[in-house]
Amino acid sequence: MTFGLLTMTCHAQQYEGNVNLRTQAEDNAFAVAGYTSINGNLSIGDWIWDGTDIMTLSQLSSVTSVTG
Amino acid sequence: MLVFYNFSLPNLNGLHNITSVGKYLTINRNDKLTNLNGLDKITSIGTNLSIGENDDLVSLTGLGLLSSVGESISLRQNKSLATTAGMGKVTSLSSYLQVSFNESLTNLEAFDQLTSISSRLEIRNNNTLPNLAGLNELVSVGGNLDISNLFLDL
Repeated sequence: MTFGLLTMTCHAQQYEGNVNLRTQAEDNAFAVAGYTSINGNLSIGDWIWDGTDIMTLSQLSSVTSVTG
Repeated sequence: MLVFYNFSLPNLNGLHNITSVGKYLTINRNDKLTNLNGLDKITSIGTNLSIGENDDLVSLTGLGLLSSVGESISLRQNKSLATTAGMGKVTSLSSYLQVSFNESLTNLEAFDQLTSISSRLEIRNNNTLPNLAGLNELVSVGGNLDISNLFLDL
């Protein structure tokens, strides 16, 4: 499993498609992959009446471009 | 890129390495944001910049390098937004500019290099806006002109 994670980190630099991060856990999980660009939309949040639990976006600092 | 309904998010740090957004940037209903720090490297937005209903947003500081927005800018219902200073300056918009229902707004300084808007210009219900200084360079509006309910010091 560790090997698989490392492989993804090294090679998956560009994410193809839209990214929807609705919770802090989803933010954190996406960040693990280490994407540097997103060829699609990046959406952070969710239409819920009391807001999301997202407190920080610091995990997304590897991302440098969003085409959507 | 859309950042919305994050009521507990205190800042946008983490997005600080993004230099361009291909289509739209929407910042909506992030009630704890006081500024836009974290968007510091964004220089261009392909289509629309929309900032709305961010209750604690006081300034647009953080978007200082922005120099191009392809179509439109909307600043709407940011009840604490006192100034547009701090946002980078665009020179033209191929669609509209909307600055409405920002009940603490005192200036339009971010738009003082804007020369043309291809569609409508809407500046309304900014009840504390004392004048239209900031639109001094605007020479062309292609669509409707809606300027109303300001605190104009004429």
